[in-house]
Formats: sequence, C-alpha cells, structure tokens
Amino acid sequence: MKKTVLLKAREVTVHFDTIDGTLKVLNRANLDIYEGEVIGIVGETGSGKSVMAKLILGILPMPPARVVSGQVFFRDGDLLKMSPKERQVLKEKVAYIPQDPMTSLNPLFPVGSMLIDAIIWKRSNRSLGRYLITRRFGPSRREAAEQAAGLLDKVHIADPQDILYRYPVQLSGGMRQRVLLAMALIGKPELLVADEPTTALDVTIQKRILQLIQEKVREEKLSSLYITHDLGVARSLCDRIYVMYAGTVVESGPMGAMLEKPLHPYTVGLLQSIPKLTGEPFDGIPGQVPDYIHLPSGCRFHPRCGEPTRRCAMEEPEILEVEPGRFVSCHRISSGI
Amino acid sequence: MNEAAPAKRKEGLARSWVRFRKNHLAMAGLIFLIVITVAAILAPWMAPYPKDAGLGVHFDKALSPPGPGHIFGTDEAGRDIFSRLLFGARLSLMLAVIVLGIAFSIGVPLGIIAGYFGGAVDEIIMRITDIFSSIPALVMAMAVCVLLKPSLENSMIAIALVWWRSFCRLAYGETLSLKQEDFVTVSRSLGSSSFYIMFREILPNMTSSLLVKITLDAGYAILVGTSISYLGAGASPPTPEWGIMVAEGRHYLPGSWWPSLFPGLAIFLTVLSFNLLGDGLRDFFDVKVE
Amino acid sequence: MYFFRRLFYMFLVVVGVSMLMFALVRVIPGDPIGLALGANATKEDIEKMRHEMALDQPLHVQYIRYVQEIFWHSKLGMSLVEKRDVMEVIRDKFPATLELVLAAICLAMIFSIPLGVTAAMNRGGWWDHFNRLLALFGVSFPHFWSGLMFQFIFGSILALTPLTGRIGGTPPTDITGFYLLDSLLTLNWGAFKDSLLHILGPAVILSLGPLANITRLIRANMIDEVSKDYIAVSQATGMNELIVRYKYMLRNAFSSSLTTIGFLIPLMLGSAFVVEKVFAWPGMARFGADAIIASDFNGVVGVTLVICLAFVFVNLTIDILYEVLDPRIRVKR
Repeated sequence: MKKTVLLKAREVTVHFDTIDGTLKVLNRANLDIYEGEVIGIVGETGSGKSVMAKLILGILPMPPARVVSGQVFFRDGDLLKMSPKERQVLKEKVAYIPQDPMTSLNPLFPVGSMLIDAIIWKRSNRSLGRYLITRRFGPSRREAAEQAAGLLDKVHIADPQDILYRYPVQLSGGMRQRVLLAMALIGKPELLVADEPTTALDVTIQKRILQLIQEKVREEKLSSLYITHDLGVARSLCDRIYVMYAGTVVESGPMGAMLEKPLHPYTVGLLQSIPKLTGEPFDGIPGQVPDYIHLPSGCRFHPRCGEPTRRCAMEEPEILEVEPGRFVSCHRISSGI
Repeated sequence: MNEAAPAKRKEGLARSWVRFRKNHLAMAGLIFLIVITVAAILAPWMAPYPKDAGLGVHFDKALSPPGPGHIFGTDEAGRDIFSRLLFGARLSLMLAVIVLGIAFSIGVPLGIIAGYFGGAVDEIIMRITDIFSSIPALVMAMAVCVLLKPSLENSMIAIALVWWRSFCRLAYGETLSLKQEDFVTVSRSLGSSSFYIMFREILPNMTSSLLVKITLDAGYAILVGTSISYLGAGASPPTPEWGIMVAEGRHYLPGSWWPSLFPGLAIFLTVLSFNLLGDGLRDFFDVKVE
Repeated sequence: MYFFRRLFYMFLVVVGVSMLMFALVRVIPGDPIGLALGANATKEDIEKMRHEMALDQPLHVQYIRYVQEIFWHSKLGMSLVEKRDVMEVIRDKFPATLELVLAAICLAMIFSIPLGVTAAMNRGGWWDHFNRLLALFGVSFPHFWSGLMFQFIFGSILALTPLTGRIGGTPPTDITGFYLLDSLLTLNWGAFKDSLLHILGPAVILSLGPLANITRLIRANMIDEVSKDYIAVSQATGMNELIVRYKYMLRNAFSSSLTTIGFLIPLMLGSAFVVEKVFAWPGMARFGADAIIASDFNGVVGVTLVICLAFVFVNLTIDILYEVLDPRIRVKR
C-alpha cells in the first residue's frame, strides 16, 4: 500500500559554530515520516535527536547552527530553501510538545493569553497589522477566547474558562502539559513532534498524558514523531524507530523487527539496558558520547564497539537497506552479508 | 563540579594572554593606562614646563590657545596645560590607588567575615553596610569631606570611607556561595582554623571578581574625586588636579575653551580606559560584577 | 505581613542614617557656633547660643531634640546659605530635582530599551559591539565636563539651547511643581517650550550613565530569554518574530531589570549635584552642593536625609511593583 510521505529528510548535516570550535552535531541523517505513522527517534542524551527535531520545527537558532548539506521536505515544500514567510506558515502544520512543562510556558502571562495570541495570529493571516488591531478590539477576541476554551476542553481540562486566566505558576505539571498540547493543536497540524514529553512528569501522570496524546493523534489524524531516550516508551507507541548515535542514524526500521533482531551493535547494547538509558557509561557499552568537536575518525561509534573491523576507524559506513524498510549503517553488517 | 574549576584555572599564563589579546577594546584601554601611568611617573621629566604645575605663573602668556610651545595652550595664569595635566595624572592615579586600597582593606575582610560566620555577626555587619549604602557615593563623600575641611587628602579619605561598602557586599556574596563548595568542607574536616579557610581558601577564589571590580572602580573613584574637586570640596588651587582645572577654566568659556576641555578629556579617557579594561577582564574571567 | 516587616526594616535604616548624620554633625570637629555668630561674638552670646542649640546637653538628649525638631516642628535647622529653615528650602527645591531626574530616566529608558533589544538580537555583530562601546563611553563621562561641553556646543556655538536655569520667562502656574506638566495642564505652550529647552541639556547629560547601564542590562536579560523554553514554544507555533521579541521576551527581560533600574534613581540624585551646579538648575542637589561648600551643616544633613529617604522609598516601590508584575511572587504570598 503506497502511503503519502509527509516528511522526508535526506543526508542532513548540521554544524554548530562556537568559540571553542565547530560541533558537527548531525551527520547525514535520514528520516521518513508517512501519513498516519508514529515514528520514534531513540538515542541517549546528546545524540543529536533534539537537533533533528528542532530543525524540523524551525526553531533551531541559525547562527550558531548551520545546515551544511542535505534536504528536508515537508510534503512538497523544501524546508531549507523556503522564504521565511512560507516557513512560518509551515510551522503551523508541525506542532511541538516540549520536554519540560515547568519551563515551557511564559510565567508572566496568563495561560489563555498565549493561546488567544496564537489563535488571533492565525486568523489575521499572519499579517502584523491585522493582528495588532484584532488583538485589542473587536468581537474576534471573544471568539478567540471561546476557541481557546474549546481547545482546553479537548485536552480534558476541567473548567476551561477559569484556567484561561490562570498563570502557569498556579497549574500543576500535568495541567501545563495539557495546555501545551492544546497550543500545539491550534494550527490544525499534520505532524506532532513530542520531545521527551513525559520525562519531567511523575510516573502516574506520564501514562495519562501519553494516553491523551495518542487520543488526539487518532482524533485529528496526525502523524507523530517521538523523541525519547526511553526504549520502553518507544516500544509502546511507535510503528517505526530511528536509532541515533552521535548525530548519525545508525539503524532504523519497524518496531517489532528492531526489537526481535537488532543489527547495529549500538542498538543491541540499548536493548540490553532496557528500561532506561543515561548519557553516562551504562551496562554493555563502555565509554561516553564523543566530543562533537573532536570526533573519532570513520564510524563515530567504533571506539565503543565491541567488534570493530579495520575499516571502521578509517571510513564512515554507508547506509544499507538490509531488508525493505530496514536500514543499518555499519561496516561489519555490510561486509557480513 | 569543582574539578572543572581548577582545570580551567590551570590554563597557562601564556595562553590566557593570547586569548585576552583578542579583545581589542580592552587592549586599547590597557595600553592607554600604561601610557598614562608612565607619563605620570615621569612627569617631572616629561613636562615641558614642570614649574607650571606648582607656583610658576606667567601672566604675559595667559590664555594662549594651543600652538607651538604649548600643545594644549595655557590657562588663566599662563601655565602650560599639558604639563599640569601630567602632574594631575599623578594625583588622580594616586587617588585611585589610595582610595581603593583603603576600601579594599576594610571592606573585603568584613565581607568575608560576615559571609562566613553568618548569624549575628552577619546581621550587624551587613546592616551597617546597608546604612552606608543608602547614600550615593558622591553625596556621602562630599558630606564627610566638607565636615573634615576641604582638601585633596580629606576627599580621598571621604571617598574611601564610602567605597568600602561595595567591596564588603561583593566579598560577602562571593563568600556565601563559595562556602558551600566542597573544598571548604574538606578543609574544615581536616581541622583548619576559620581564619585559614577564610583567607587562604575562600579569598583566593574571589580574585577574578575582585580584580574586575578594582579595575572598574578605579575609574569611578577618579570620577567622584574629580567631581568633588570641581565643586570645590577637594583640591584647591594651584594644585594641578584635573577637576579644579576644569572648574577654573569654566569662567573663560566659550572664548578660551582649552583650559576646560583638555583636563576633562583627560579624565574621560582615563576613566574610559579603566572601563574598557575592566569590561574586558569581566568577559575574560566570565564573572558578573557591576 | 511581609510588607510591614520590610517597612519596619526600612524605618530602622532611616533611623540609622539619621544617627550617623547626627554624629557627623555634632561629633566631628568644627565650630557651629563660631560659624553662626561670626568672629565678634561675646562670651555671653556664645553661651546663649550654646544653650539654645542645646550643645551643653548630653548627646542622647541632643539627638532626641534633633528628631523632635524634625517631626514636631518640621524643622531641619537653619540653613546658612539660604537663611531659612532647611525643610522649607527642600520643599521649594525638591520638585525641580525630581523633575530633572524623572526626565533623565525617561529619556534613558526610551532609548536604551530598543538599543538593548537590538543589540541582543544582533549578538556578536557590529551593532552589538558599537552599543557596547557607546555604553562604556556613557559611564566614563565626568558629568561636569560633559555638561560644560554641552553648554559650549549647543548653547554657545550652535545657540540652540539656553545655557542655564530652569526657565527663561515666567514659570507656569504651580499645580504639581513640575514645569513641564504644569505648562501642559494650563495649556501654556510658551512656558512648555521654554522649560523643555531648558531641561534638555541637564536631562541628556544626567541620562547618559543610566542609558549605558540599562542598555547593557536589557541586552544581557534578553540574551538569557532567547534560550528559554517558552520562547521556543512560541516560535514553534509560527508566531511572528517581532511579537515574540517585544511582547514575550522583553516583558520578562524588563521584569528582571527592574531592581537595577530603580536603584539608578538615588544614584542619579548623586550625579545631580554636579549637573545642577553646571546648569544652575534650582534644585535640591545644587543647594546641597552649595551647602557643602559653605559648611552649612544643617543643609548638608537635610539633603542627605532626603536622599536616604528617597532610596528607602524606591526600595519599597520596587518590592510592590514586583508583586504587581510577577505572578509567581503574587501567588507565593
């Protein structure tokens, strides 16, 4: 069955320019998201997964970041070649659920005001003048407030009219996360990008929020992209996952196949350390995430790999499609087959 | 977390210097300050008319515009302004050194003691500091200064009396955060005396903040000092102090603009250099000092 | 309840300062009687004066009398310079100084906020470096010199602004004591233009320092804001960048700057001494400067007390403002 592709990233390489040197944070990363899919990007802290997400969302600060090469397409639009105005339009189609609800809402503004601003902005067709007028005067403001309350209701917030006027400091973590979800749904998005959406919450709330997100994804027919370090979370949610290490996609494929038969040594190590990973040395894979300025030569993983070949230190492995839909980037695998 | 700190500090002196050199503004400030200091020290030999800094008067040459023989012109008593400026540099730089020296010696120990011991000692010392802080430096300094009879020396004492409070506050703040650090706990468990911890462990870790503050404050102290003299509560004629030179010259504006312009310009450039250097140091050490 | 604790604490500080002033006046060597009476006073005159000024009483009694004079009789002592009670003098002259300081701070904020925001957005660029240089310049000027230079260039050479004083013609009807405001309220355009031209010089000179400081402050705070999570969220919704900057970021950055900005006001009162002197501005600070030169103890003490009070007042106002502006603090009460 041929599905429509929503997002296509090819050979994306991103560098960060800092005083201490250039960080090569993304290395020829590929990503495909089809309509109606749930994709996961799995990797430890510092693997480059957030950078990828931010690039898609359009919130990667462009100095100091620099797209060195590659392409990203959303449907037919080339994200990297668009005009800024077109990019703004596209941002509404890609929604963002941030990691930490405690710091993701502006503390000085009532929660409703952020929602209303976004709604009115969308309504005024992204023209600054029209926005300014509508914001202050007219019935549109009341309508926007109603719409905002409606959105809060959709994310199962009790008494939405009251919550509109509350400040973030008055809301619990779970409530804030719901508000953020409501904000994400404003632009009628097609893709939802959730950056570790439950890491900052209590376990009991975690489950409820995840369920809520899934519910909305189904209702609104969204595709979703989950960024996580938790394979357990990925396992329960995703159709396909991408495993990232040091800015490179080392393996990708359908969830079931990946779990049953992991190919890349890193993926194997990850599975051995379920349920949780941290950025420090963990069971099975000695060593630490490399310094992005002084990267190892050849395959970025080779210093930590249990069985490196001689080629691994010399050249980067190419991406090989070992089965339909199953990609690995490893010399040993490519030569073994 | 503390492992990172000593590692950074071990950055070689040579490498630090190279890094600092990249800041052109700070280097400009440093160079100018060196020039001024050298000029001040060598004033008796560098000045074309050294006697003009004292009692020499030449009324026949009064108020000659800048020209050959007198690059900055002469003032109302015919004295060479350039020579007077050089001697004035001595006075201002000396003021900065003395004022900051006194303020530092009083304020820093008090601040460390207050921060380290906390409790009643803390309250008392900091409340006294607060009282002194309610009044801007210039006002307080002038008030004290005039009650002591106006003179250059008294103005220096007055400014110092007022300046110690900000050193105290800085040392206090730094001590509060430093005393939480591991090396203090370790030292204490090894049985070091409080005195030792305060002055051999905590104080050295403040050096970068203190250095930045001293540099910036040197400029401000000179501003306050010359302001006091301008208003008449500090140095008195014929002392070639920059502040009173501007005050004396003001009577001859706008016709003869040079007696007021050049001393003021000297003050401005000197203070600016201190600020440039201090700002550069602040970036270099990555501290937050006002 | 926190509010009252602060109030009490402020009161203690004021008492502390008054004691300090009292100590300075009475204890430091200097002969107030000699100055008041002159060289030809007879022994009886001196004794009489000594008794009148209560200088023969123990110190704590003197202090109590001192405080009494202030609160019961509204007297801060006779001023040698003005030959009337210091309280009266201050009442007359304070509005002039206040108007000047407020004008300077408004001027500073109007320019420094856009400068700070644009410098932050252009971080590392030429505009940022240029701003930094300007800021360093701004705090390096000796006020007396920059004042003189202003008078020289704009007053003498270009003849655009008057040299000294607060107004050339007749002042507008006294409603608030602020010439600018009063002339507007009474629709007295002539007086308005007159006072505006007069206040321009001193206000500009006085504003240079704060302008520099506030610009750097806003810049630093804005840079902090850029990396905040909630800004990323706003940007991800496709919100116009200008709105994100000037509405969301600036509001937070400004909130963090409030304390420092508030404390610039008492600092400016200090610089006002020099600026008022140079421009012959008839304010309290100039009186203070004159009092100091003339060894007018009462005058000096009076002015210092007022400045201390201003500081305390600003402190309290900032606390209240924070409660109003920052919901996090409001909720915690």
